Amino acid sequence: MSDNRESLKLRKIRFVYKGAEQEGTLIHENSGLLTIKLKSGYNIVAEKGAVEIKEESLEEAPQARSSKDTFIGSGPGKVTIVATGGTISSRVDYSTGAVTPSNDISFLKSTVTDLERRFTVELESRDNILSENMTPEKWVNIVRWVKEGLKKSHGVIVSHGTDTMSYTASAVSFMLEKQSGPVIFVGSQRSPDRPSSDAFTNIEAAIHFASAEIGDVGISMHSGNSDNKISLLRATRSRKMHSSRRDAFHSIGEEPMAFYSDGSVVINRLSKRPDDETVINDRLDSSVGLMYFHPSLSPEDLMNYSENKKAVILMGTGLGHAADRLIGPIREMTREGKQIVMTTQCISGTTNLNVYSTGRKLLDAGVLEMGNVVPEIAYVKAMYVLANYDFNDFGKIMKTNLRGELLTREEL
Amino acid sequence: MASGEKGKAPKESKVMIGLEIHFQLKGKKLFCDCSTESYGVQKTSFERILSPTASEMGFYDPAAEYEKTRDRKFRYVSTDNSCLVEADEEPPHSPNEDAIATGMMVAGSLNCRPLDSVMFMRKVVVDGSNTSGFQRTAVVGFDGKMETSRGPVRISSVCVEEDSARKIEQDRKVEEDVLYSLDRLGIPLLEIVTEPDILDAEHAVEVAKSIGFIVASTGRSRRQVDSIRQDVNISLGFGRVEIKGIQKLSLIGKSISHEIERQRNMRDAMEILKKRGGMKRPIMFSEAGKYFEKTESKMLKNAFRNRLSIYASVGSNLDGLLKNDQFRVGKDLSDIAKAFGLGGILHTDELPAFGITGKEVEMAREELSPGDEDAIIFVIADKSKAGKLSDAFTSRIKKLSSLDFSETRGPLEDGSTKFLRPLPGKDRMYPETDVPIVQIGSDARQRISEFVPRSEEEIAKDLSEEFSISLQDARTIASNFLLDDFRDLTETTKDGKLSARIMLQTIPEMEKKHKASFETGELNRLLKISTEMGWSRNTLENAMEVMLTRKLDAKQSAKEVQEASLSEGDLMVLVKEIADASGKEIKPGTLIAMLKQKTKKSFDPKEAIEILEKLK
Repeated sequence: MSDNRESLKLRKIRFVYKGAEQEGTLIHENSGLLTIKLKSGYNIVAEKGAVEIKEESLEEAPQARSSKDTFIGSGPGKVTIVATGGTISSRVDYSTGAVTPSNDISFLKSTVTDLERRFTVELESRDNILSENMTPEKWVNIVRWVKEGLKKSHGVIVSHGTDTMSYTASAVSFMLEKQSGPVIFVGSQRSPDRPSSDAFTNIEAAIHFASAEIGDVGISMHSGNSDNKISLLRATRSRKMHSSRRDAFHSIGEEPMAFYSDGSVVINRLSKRPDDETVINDRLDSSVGLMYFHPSLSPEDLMNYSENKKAVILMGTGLGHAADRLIGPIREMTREGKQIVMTTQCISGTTNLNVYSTGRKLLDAGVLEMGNVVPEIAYVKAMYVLANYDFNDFGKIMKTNLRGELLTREEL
Repeated sequence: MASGEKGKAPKESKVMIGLEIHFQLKGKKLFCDCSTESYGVQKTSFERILSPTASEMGFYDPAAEYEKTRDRKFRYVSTDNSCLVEADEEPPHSPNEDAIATGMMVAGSLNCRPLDSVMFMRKVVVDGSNTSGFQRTAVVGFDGKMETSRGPVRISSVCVEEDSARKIEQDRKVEEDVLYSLDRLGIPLLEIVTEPDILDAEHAVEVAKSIGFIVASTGRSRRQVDSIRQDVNISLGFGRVEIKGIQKLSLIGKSISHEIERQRNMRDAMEILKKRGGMKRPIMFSEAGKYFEKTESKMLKNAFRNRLSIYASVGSNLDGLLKNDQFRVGKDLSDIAKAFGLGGILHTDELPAFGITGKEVEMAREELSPGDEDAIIFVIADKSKAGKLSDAFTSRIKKLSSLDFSETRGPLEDGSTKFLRPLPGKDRMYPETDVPIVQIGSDARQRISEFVPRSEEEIAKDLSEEFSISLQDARTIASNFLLDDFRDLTETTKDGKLSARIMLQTIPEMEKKHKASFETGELNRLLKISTEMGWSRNTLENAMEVMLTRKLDAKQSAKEVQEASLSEGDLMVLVKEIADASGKEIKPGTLIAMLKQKTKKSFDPKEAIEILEKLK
């Protein structure tokens, strides 16, 4: 939208519809339907054949407020925003009537309190894709942009669609061997074209988090339904737990790392200090699968799904179980050298394959149990481990806590 | 806009009046599965910030921008009849097709041209009354016309929209701190807009009533305290003024005449200002606290304690215009200050007063070296608000002196109005992309075309026959649009006469007497209990009074009344005792008086007299 604003022409028409002659602006024409903006501001939709256009003229649209600035502010806190798309940088597309990604985040200027005085924010529009279209190849690009950002700024913010934000953020976390400052992922559940968008406060908080002494990758999203408190969640424990609420993101099994409210950051639990430099291992092996065990899952389905994969993360029931009928095929696969990794579809809590006989049989069949690592994070971690470690060490590294993804104790 | 853009001063023209009338519809909300009715249960609360956004054309709405300058936060409380949709935590569901059909019936009856597809728009409203920051609204018909006793009135449009959240609490001192309930948010609302063809207040009431009967005939309208709201648009040639949210038809007339007088006085004041040479210096508030250090004014002492100060500015050429017998420019500025969360303004047309001495005012005045016809305006504020107010007052006086009075105003009880915000423009509209376009199918079209509205008298007659109530009562119910509520009530009481009495007498009288209002859900439950228990009207009315005065729920009220009233057996024993002692020919009045001496518990006098009759 913002790119063609300057040359935007309005199609002013005088037309007759249902016997009444009126003036309006022709917004668009789509599969035989005309959308016309009336003088009152309302749009009407009418079949093309039912509208008689009497006069049409092109009128220069007055200059809309749109900015192409890539720098905002002149304060001491240097932050780079890597924009990748998603709801947070979505706009209404008036040609299709749907919400689509855009790169204009000039709204920050008017919405972030004290931004100009306290921070220097640089915007880098790197990509423009919806969350569901993210891939491991794109995660690798993002970690490279993050590294560049950390060279010139204290912290980096990655704006991202929320649906797969936990996957991307934890992939970036694993690929960052060392990080010189905070890397903060931020998204929104309501697009910024709505006055009630959560984007404004989530980004405001992200800018503050990105200026703190934190050497971790986190996610900056609403703590609750209110706009007055934002949580910073550890990427490798985070999960989107609601399809639409502002407080969709939860930290599984641990409290948020920090909170932002009333203009300041409060550290809630100790996180890693920033390193002296930034080092990345930007390799991922995407031959990893993630499968949800369900009561009718057949050995054939499991075998077919696992065919070209080096590792399969199973989301087992309860403490990490799968049906007896699958134990044979699993044993066969592990003997062939596949890694079968067990997590729990309960999401919260740990696996424990010693409690029931099924669990012990699974262990005997060569299953690797992941404890309380969140299934999606185990899936991302497996890609990282396969690409960067000796295959023989897979089990050992998967069970080692690398980035806070594995909790050795969970508090009541 | 005032017509004075091309250098010509606008002149007073014929008064033009248009109406925007809103009716709530009952059933389900417009975009979710919640009921339009609440039991009054409040659940959790949350806080939000709203930021104006550009319309699809890329412009910002002036009303929205104005609200933004006020740094407001809003609090909301969810209710039993609200869900994630009202909390703006879930996208809207498909629109309520019943509400759209009702809108189309009304549009058809007003001879509007019906649309084949309905497209919802977002109308930006950032005063907090919508959690989303916009109101969803769609035109269902346009370009209609209705006949009235004084000629045709054109109908611009009929819209189906969602109602806003209900303001339940506002800190008087901090106007920006508002608490809204979500019970009303999302209730389907029909908006009927007329062209400015209305001749005067009386005509406006006629138009409003006629439209009301059409809506009532659909059987879908909801009648609660604020279920019908009128906005009045008035133009005298100085721009359109919208008076928003007049609840009583009787206030329309007063509001119109007050507004005409206010605009005429404002024009006269502005003409004097112009003769004096206009506003020569902008409003520029500077700190004046040092002249009031030893003040005896309680108001100022209080302000200083709260870390506020007093700021002063020259009001260029405004002396005598801020407040005298005719002019009230001061009140106009005061309304603006209040909108910024301040208490108002003080000025030299009314000072010394409020404990502020002439000497203090003089000292502050000298510092500003004003001219002979200048006034001094004071505000109690902090530095940042005083700064914002300098700009706001300067542009306000500029706008008024160009004789552009267009704005949105709110009605007050006495018929006068106060400034609310600039008039919203068309830039506040953009498409609601979460809701697909609704095609009106042939079934719905059929239903819509079969609808025939009824006249007031027809409705009253039917009602009187159906429920065997007096034609008088039926007329009152019809003319006050109480039809649907009467039906609902009778569904509960199983007794039309009782319903008519409760609705037309008991409720209004009790509410007036105790200056409180019934909570619909609880009252309904009480009526259900009464029907089930076979209470007399007397017992029911006692229970209602207990409910209203002691704020009890239905169960508690019923329990109280049952404990406090005589059982039929006990009443019989007492009546017998009296009859034995005083004879069976005792007069009913005496019987009641004697019974009241004998017991503190309540009883139904009619029942007592019947017992006495039986004894004879």
